Amino acid sequence: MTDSDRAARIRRILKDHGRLSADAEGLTTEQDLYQAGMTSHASVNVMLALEGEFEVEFPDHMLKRNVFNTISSISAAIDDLNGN
Amino acid sequence: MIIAQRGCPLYFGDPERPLFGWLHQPAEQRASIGLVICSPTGYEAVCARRAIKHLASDAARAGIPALRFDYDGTGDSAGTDLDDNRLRSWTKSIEMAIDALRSHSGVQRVCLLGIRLGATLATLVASKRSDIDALIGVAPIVNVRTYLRELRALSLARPRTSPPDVTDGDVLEAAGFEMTLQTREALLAVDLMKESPPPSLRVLIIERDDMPSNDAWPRHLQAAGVNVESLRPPGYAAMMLDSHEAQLPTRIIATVTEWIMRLAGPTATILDGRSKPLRTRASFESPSASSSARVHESAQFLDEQCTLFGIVSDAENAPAEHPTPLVLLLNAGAVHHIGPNRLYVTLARRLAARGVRVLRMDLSGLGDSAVAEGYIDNDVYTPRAEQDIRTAIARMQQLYGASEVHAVGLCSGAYHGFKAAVAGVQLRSVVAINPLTFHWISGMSLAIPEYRVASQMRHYRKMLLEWELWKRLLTGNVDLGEVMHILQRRIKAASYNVLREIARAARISLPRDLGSELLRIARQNTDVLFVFAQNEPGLDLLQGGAGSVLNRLQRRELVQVVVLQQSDHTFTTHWSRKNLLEVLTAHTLSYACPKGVTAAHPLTTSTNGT
Repeated sequence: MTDSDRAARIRRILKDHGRLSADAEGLTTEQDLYQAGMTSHASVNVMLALEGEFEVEFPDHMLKRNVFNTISSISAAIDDLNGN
Repeated sequence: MIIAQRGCPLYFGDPERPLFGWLHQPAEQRASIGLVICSPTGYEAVCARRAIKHLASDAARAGIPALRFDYDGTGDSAGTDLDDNRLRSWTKSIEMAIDALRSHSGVQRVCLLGIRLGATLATLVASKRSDIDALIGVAPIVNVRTYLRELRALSLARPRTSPPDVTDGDVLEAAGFEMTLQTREALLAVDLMKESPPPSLRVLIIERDDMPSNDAWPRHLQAAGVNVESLRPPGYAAMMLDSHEAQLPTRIIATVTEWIMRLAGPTATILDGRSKPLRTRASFESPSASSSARVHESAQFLDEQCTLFGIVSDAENAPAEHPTPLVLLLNAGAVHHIGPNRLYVTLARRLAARGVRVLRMDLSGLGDSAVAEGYIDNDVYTPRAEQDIRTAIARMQQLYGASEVHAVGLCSGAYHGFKAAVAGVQLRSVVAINPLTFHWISGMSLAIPEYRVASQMRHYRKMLLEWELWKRLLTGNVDLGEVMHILQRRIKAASYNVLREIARAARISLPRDLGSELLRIARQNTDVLFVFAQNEPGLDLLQGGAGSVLNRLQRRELVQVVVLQQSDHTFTTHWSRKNLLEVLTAHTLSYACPKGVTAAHPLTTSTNGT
């Protein structure tokens, strides 16, 4: 899976669950998702959807605001969980 | 009878530890089965509350008596999240609700409907009793470990505001609701895959529409001989949004109601329990360690049509017509009268124990108040608010008298309290906590509202010296269009503020002038206390909009501005709520007993305008 494929899948999840005020497709990989309107409440659903989509489980130490802050940080966390 | 379908408030259970609920009676009972609705817990209970209210009303309209209620330690019931034995108390609450429904409606057959953890609790109850006919689980939590991870994620996703060393490590705080280690351990011992409900139980599972299905639990129930149906009507995700955005799950409500009606079959002989009076007054322990006085609460309709609702808290021995000060608590956004993170319940009981009467009310179309004809349901900035406030005060004056009235509100509640004073409602003081606007225009765009402009400006100022911003800017990861839009809006607002300052000096009255509104309030002897959490954009709107008037009124002590450090918009952490409660208690008691405590607090900053 390429970085851009993964970013596209993350964007789709953000679109479905992130409750963003901005269009998820137009987000850059470094754009702050909380600034883009994602609430703490929505971020939990994003986490669950990411776990389903990428078949991973975020361990407790990753359940932090800065892990779900940007597409790039989410992508890095998934990479980490896949042992890459 | 329409009122009965809409619901009648009642207290039930142990009189020493009362539970609060609403009984929805059908005009014509067509089902021999009644419905007990078990809400989710914590923040999810706030989100789902509007859906639950409509579900109970619609069930009653279809002929099914329904009871919705707050578990022990939640909502308007007695106790707190931090009390011992939560799991046992919650299941016991369900059992008491079953008894209350049977006693007041006369039905013998009962269907339990639970949402999220409420479905889990309802399953535990149904598994241990042989007298439950049916169980409906809406997005049931089968794996408690996953649920606790969600709470942990919710807890850690909030912006860091409170100092880490003041949080009790044993307490998990998720979106303003707390769960002790004891409760978490008790929940972790729950395993629905090991529960065996009686085979006679009929089960309907409403799956959430935003996540993949998991049929492990339905298969477990089927293996135990239970008749199970799983459906996936749309509506779950939308009904669980933040309360101001939550949508009514009409398809889920219709599905559930039809399923119960099919199950109920022809109406059986019903023992009529309707003549039994509902208990609408109850006694509670004082939430304050410093006071042993008990507090009385009564559920009150505030108008003749029984559309406007609130709960009055009083000291136990307060003479019925003794005119004490009255504190009016106004909805924070679309959260019902318990307030954000149950803040209003704690405040009301604390003040009542100190001799101040408190009414926590729902404005029309919010919480347990019906929407007024011609108005919109769940409209946070309802134009009806001023009229509702006048009605509530008049009713309270009629019932008890009031030596003076103080309005307290957070967010939109702050706006409504402030605007009521501007409109001439006789208030001794207004406490406006974190207002996000001072001039709401119906239909105003929420895409980039004025508070977001102020909030973004604060963010930009903070980020200006940080390399991260410049890195993002240089790599094209900043939405320059939005930045330009925000700057343009800010410049425009600043220009208007200068114009208003000039107009005020020239005694020219301009519309939507916050400075003039503050002067008007001051002239009618209404004090104003603004309370802001740190970084709240409302403070910038206040300072910009009121200009020099704010400084003048602060110097004359007619307006106070207090900033509470390490807090957020709804005072999510226990620690920040404790600070806010101290400020609010001190403010109120300074009128009730002028020699009382002062509002000084080590983590508050008073902006004094000098």
